[in-house]
Amino acid sequence: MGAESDSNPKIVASAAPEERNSRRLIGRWLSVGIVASAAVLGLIILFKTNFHPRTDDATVLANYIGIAPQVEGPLVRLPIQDNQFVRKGELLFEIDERPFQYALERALSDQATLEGQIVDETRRIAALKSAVVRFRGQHSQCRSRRGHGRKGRYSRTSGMGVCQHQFAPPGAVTQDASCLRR
Amino acid sequence: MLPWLASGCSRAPSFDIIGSFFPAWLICLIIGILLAALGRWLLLRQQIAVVWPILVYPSLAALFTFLFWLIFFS
Repeated sequence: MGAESDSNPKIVASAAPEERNSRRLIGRWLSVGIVASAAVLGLIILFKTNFHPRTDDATVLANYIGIAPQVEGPLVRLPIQDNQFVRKGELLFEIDERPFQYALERALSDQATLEGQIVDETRRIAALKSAVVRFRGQHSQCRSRRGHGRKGRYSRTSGMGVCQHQFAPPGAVTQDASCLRR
Repeated sequence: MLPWLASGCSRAPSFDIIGSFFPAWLICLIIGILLAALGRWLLLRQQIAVVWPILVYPSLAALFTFLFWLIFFS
């Protein structure tokens, strides 16, 4: 529509030929100027919006790395701020170490208790071994005494001829070691 | 003029029109089209014919749009 009315010869035909020429020249330069300045301004805006972008709701493409400690507990220290640049090995946060300290001490005391029990048991085993040795000695003595009685050197006064000996090692279950002649 | 220029630096580049937010460039485009229509009316009144109207008048609208955006919102 604009093209038809602008290039309408009736409008420009009313003017004088010189004026018509000058208006055509003006129109030509104006057209070139409008298109060129629009292109230049468009490039300027393209440059500005590319290098100085501005928006209400910008998002930044970044890598989020979730970190979690291997042990849980309350934090006692958080030395870094949000969005702070950190290097490898830098302290991010400090977990309260007291519960773990208590657990360590408890485990150490349990270990000490167990070691004490091991010493006790070792002593008991040694006592039992010595008691076994002693019992074997008594047993062999008893047997040899019985053997003598059979040969008539030893009179059986008690009727049964019981050779009974008991021993109770310290701290052990009472063991009756008896050799009864049946 | 100066408060407008200063406000362009701080407030959000959008307009609240009856509850909807329109971006600034859209407002600039509408104003540019209106100004281009006004310019065409003036040119026709002065009996100045542009060479390629189908290229020049959209360029004129774009020119006003860019100019407005650069003045008030860049």
